[in-house]
Amino acid sequence: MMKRLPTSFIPLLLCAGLFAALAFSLLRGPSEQNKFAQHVGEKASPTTLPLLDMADTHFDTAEWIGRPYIINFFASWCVPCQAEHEVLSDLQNHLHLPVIGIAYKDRPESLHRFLNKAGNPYLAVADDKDGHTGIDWGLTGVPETFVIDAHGVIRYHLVGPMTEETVMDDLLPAWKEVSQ
Amino acid sequence: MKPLLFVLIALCLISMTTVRAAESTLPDLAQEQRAVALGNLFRCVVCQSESINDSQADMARDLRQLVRDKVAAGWSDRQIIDYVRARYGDFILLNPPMQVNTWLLWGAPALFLLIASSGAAAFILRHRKGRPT
Repeated sequence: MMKRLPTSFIPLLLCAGLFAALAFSLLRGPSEQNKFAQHVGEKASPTTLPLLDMADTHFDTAEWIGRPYIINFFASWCVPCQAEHEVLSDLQNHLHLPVIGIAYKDRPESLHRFLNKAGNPYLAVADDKDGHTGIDWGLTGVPETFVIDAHGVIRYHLVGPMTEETVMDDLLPAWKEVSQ
Repeated sequence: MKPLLFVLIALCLISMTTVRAAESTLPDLAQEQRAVALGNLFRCVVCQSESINDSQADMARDLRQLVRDKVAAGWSDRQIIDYVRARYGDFILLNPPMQVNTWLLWGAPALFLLIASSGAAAFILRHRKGRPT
């Protein structure tokens, strides 16, 4: 009887092994809430958008090759964006980073009201009226922020609003790296 | 109380029909069916447990529209899937693709079958041997 015990244990061992492997990949897998592609290390999607209030001028990613910059998708109708706006304004009062705001599915009049009231921390505001640029960038909502290096490669991607914490811990270190 | 309930239900129905009507479908039935079939493949980026067809979210509607536009523009299913996947990654697909990091997921049923049948075989063999001849 003792001799046969190992064979009957094989299925149990296999099951345990499978369980361990599944548990391992489940626990080790993307721990972040957002499992959609983060695009860090990829080229930013080539984008041309009209600028708010400047009918004939455009924001064009091609023109930014050679300079690092930051893209911030936002909307006046988005509540987390309002909280983020304070953090961003505070940051810009000190550092004046080249932050391009991309207004996601918004109306010019609402944008004006929002920026007049809360202040405009952006170097320029581009208008993604129909949200197509958002989809091109893999946006899952607003706000989202991207740090782009001088080669046009995304170096940092934040889903959700910037907080003082994310600015200090992630955004600024990422910016420091691309702006060297 | 009853009339109020009726009014409420009627209002709900009205708002539901207007939501549905706001979305334009493709005039070509075959194309529309393809767009719907594709929509069932994609995960809503907001609700995450629903397909973009099931979701009421704004972004899901935008993606449905995008799929319709691409279908109408003559893109193949493969091209549309690749386009969306390039932007949102594998997680956008409700059905995970077969690749290195998902082999265990896809292979698990076969593996379970193997485990179960080897267990059964071991059991049968043991009892056969144990039986007096």
